[in-house]
Amino acid sequence: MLIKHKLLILLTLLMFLPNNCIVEYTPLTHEEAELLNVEGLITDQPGVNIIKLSKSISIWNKQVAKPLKQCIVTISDDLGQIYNLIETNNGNYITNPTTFQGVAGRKYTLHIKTTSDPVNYSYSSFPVEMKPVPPIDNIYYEKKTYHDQLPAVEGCQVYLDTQDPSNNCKFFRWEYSETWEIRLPYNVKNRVCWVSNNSNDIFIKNTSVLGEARIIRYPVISISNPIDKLSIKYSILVSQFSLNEDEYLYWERLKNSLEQVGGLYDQVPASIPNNIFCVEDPNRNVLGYFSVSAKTSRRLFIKDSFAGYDHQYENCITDTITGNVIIDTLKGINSFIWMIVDSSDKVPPRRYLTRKRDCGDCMARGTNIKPDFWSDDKK
Amino acid sequence: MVWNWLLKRQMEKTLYSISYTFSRTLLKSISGFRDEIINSGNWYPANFDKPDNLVITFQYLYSRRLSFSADYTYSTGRPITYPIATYSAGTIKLMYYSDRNKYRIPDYSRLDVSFKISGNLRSDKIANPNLTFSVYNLLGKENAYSIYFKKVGEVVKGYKLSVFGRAIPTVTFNFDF
Repeated sequence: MLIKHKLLILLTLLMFLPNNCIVEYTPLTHEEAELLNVEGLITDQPGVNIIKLSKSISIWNKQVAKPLKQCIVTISDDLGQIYNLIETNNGNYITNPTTFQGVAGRKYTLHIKTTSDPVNYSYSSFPVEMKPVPPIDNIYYEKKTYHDQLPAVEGCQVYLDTQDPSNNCKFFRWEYSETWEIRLPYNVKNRVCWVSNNSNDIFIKNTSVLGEARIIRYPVISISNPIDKLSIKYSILVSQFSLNEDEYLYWERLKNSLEQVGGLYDQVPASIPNNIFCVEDPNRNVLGYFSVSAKTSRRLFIKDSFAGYDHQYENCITDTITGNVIIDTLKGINSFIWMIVDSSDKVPPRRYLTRKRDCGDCMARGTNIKPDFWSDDKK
Repeated sequence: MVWNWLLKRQMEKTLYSISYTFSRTLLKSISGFRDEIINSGNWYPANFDKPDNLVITFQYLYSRRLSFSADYTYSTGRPITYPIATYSAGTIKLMYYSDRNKYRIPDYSRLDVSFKISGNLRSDKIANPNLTFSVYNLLGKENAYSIYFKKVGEVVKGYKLSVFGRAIPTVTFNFDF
């Protein structure tokens, strides 16, 4: 073989050398990743208000959030009153319910002083006015058919109406907390339970662009898995908070940054301007927001019949036992295996069991303690 | 702002040139609206800001038929904004980013070499063939094309994508006529 040919073969083989197009890369950022994060909401409701202080954690670590303990936290209002907050646990600081209750129309300022850092800073919020909130006029549901499952199921959409004729409250935020009753179709010890879920999305609305401060048919939640939630009885408690414009813009930016899908026209990542600053070093970034809102709530119960095929408990039976066995002596009974159908009176005698905790024990998903509001609708 | 410098020398058998460009493109964003202010209103590099740009070329003619050439490119990495921390607002997990374009991706550097062998270059030929053996990115530097971040389980991991991440040998056959 000529040199020429050998060279050509060598060059061709070089092309197939393995190489990694994508490698892991940890950038060197010589920047402090531990910033103060304030999660605080004070309302006009009686009871405690909680301000939660923590430190942000470096993005490369799998740590959990670090609560910031031993801080001195106070709230002052525009009448010169100062309220001290008491630390309970894990970076939670609470107001004293006997001395503090927020009042709409007042301006509140939050003050924080850290004591456990190498360098201790004081932080303050801008004075935030508690805007009054109108009551929720109406909360109701409308049946709706969902075609994303086959066969189609009938669920419902929950709406609310509210309005502020005085036009004092132009910015709204909502949270909800839902509870529903489930009943297993088997005669087991934990048969009836109540499952709960809290909202973790951002629900906000700005009525300053509308002619009047009036919201009609605001969609709160779409219940598209009605088989589970709406079979027995369902309840949702919607809380409505008033916001001032600065806080509304904060939530709006937060919502936009969360709903990005990674396209070309997304919001460029940047820190979201908030209402807390460091007194000694104004360039030091502070995360979170000091929320001051008046709050009102309203509860809706749904006890209705919805069309749809219930196949939730179709594949529960996993084991069958024949003959005379004392069920209580079975290994793992009621901890990882449950008897759901007892046909020991039939011929031949048999019992059906399940290894799925969702089928044999409703406490896998909820609690067997009835919530104290459950009979409020008298149904 | 741009500053350009070029040196080119042709000698009997060698030819080389060095070109260096210094250029900066900076932006500043100030506004009456707080969320339109970027980097507290300070100057920051634009996405395409490349301060140093160096190109060195070298050619050696061994004979009329055999020549060797090499060229080297270097430029500063492009600016990038890094996520540096995570925090939460209630149940929502959020990412905290550094100042806009505060950091840079690794610098770009690449060396290419090539040999060119020509046919006998007789004047009565219709076409003159030549054969070029070259290696693109001889040093095999994994220059970053893109640096991006992805959430893997509970942590965020950074990745570097390189397009021509190793030496690529090429053979080219040409006809001049």
